[in-house]
Amino acid sequence: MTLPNRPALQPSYADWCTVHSQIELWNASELILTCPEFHTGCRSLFPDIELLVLTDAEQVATCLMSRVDKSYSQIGLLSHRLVDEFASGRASAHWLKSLCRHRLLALINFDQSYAFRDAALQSGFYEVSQISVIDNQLTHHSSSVGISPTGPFDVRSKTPAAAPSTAATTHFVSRVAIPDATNLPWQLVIGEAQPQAGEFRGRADELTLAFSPCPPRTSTANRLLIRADFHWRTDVGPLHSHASLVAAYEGPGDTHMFAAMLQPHPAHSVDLSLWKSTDRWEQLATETVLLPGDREMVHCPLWLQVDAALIRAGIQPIDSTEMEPVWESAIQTNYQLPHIATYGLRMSGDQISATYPTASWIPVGEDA
Amino acid sequence: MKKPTIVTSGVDSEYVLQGLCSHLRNRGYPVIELDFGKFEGSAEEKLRRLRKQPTVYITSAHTNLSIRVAEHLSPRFAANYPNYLSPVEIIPLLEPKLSMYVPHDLLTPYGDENLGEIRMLGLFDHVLAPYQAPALQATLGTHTKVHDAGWVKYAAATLELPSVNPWLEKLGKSLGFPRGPKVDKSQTRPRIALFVSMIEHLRTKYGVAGVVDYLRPLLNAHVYVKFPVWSGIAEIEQLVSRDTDAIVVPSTTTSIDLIRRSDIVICNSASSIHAESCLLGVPVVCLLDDEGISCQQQIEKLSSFQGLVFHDYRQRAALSPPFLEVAAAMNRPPQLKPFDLSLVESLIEPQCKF
Repeated sequence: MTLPNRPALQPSYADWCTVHSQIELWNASELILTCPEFHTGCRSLFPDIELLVLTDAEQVATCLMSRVDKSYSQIGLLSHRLVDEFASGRASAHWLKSLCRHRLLALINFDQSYAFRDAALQSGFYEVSQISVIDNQLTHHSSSVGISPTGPFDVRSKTPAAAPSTAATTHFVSRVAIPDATNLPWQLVIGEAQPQAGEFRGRADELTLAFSPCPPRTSTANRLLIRADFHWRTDVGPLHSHASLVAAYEGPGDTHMFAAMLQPHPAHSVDLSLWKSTDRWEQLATETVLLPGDREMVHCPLWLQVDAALIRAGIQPIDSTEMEPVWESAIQTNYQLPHIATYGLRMSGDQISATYPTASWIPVGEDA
Repeated sequence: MKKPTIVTSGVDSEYVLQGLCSHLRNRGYPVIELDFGKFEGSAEEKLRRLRKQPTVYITSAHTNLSIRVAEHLSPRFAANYPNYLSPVEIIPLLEPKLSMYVPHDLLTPYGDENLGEIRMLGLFDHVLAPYQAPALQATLGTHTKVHDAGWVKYAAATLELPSVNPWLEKLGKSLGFPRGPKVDKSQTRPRIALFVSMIEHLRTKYGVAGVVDYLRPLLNAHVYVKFPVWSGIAEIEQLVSRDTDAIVVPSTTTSIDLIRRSDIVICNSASSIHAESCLLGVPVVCLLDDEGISCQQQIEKLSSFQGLVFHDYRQRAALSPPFLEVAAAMNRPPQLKPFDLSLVESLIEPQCKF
């Protein structure tokens, strides 16, 4: 069986820049696994390190199994094709862990990050962190720990790691806890916007994401409810911003989540839509509604509910505690609400403001 | 000869290394025990200081149950032991010369499915297996050595330990228990030991008084009841002593000692107690109750053990005397091997410097 091959898996100039900026870290490897595309560069950068050049999946398995009586303090994985192979759920990740006594360094494309973390944690590595080396200091940007062998992982981060990145990043994969990574604050913010005076507003021509961890889930409450009040002015010219509540996002590299989006029109009408992302966003429902408000300012108290079977969203009428859903959509079977999901805001542009969202768990069967 | 410092870790009932530590101290090793049920202060600082000297690390704790993982799988554990450090956190702080894993649970000695702990056992240099050593060795590869070392609690029961308290010896004698494992044939009724598992679930669901009500049909005179060593357990013990005829055996008593002194063991859930009793040849009744795990899961988890009978306790039905007589007759020769203390010493010895 040949290893996966696509243009994105070819080494780029940026890949080599990333490796070169961390050369001391890579030089601590006792073995580097690579593929023909990366071989020449590896040979030149690491003349004294044992290199294994692997061309197909069968060779990967055979090579790793034949070394089962050896162990290496640190192994480097310098090949996007091999990363795909290890992330694909095959036995390679298990064999790699067996050979690796302490840690693994791997160069990862953004779209490989989630699957690679998952495979590493499932195979028995304890922690995966995304790193950079700045002024010779190793910096951890996000850290993932597996909760159960087949379950989701807990992520803590101090950087906007969910931002799509064209450059590859280095993942530091450890069999034991990484002391420097265990206390990373958990708040992701993409873009420069920050909450001010209880309000959150994006910036012009930028996409803004802000997330917080969900509160602990109890055994009887398994429906996640998120709320925030959005408002915008109608006297500022053409409206081209949109804003969403986001639920069930698991952290860097995760592309699975739900969103309730509002797109204001002139006057007091707004397009409300419900979205699901697996690997790409898919619209589940949409509706245009009129909102109450004074002449210049429109208020929209939006809520979003997710459980294992159903996603619902709606607007809570002013002066009312009733929350009739505007949309409702069944979730496909086999969905498991993550133990450790986050909730947050996704905002485009600077015309909409929001209170910082709140989240709570409620029992299924009990509406908001 | 300079001996390395032995550092051990675990928490409350999952810390089963007291006997081993006592033995190693008697052999001249400096020993530092981190039982996070009792330890106060910053273990992290202590471990960093210890890193400067040669150490051997021995643990009976779940390898990868860090607080970070427990916050999701077992929030109560995370709340009860906020300063807890798991082996995957202790190893990088301590950087021991040698590491050993000693299972604390005989039902799933190499970890249950929820943690997938078996993936992590290759971290240790040695695993001291109570049984199934060859199968585990085949799974872990060659770096980690798996030894057929016996059951750690079996050794503890034979030692003079502060935790296996003299009180139990006295209690045993005053209650007519013979010294040693066998049945007193002059007894007219079987001696029954009731162990309570899944205590966190029961207490959360029913409250302290509710736990006692849950057990009440079983709490008769001549029944010896033992709760696990666990945070806040004294409150339940006091209520059982006050409100029922059962005799409360202190939670610090070694479970294997009580099992060996009993004709029948009763326990809820699917627990290491069931496995210990079966492997020691003492008949054991499993209460099927759908508490925490389903009855079907209980049966499945215990399916590989012999000498075990199931009793439907969903309606909290008491155990009838004829049922107990039949159960008591199911005793079998013990299969469990006492823990090999000299093996541990032989593994540590190469770390000693002359």
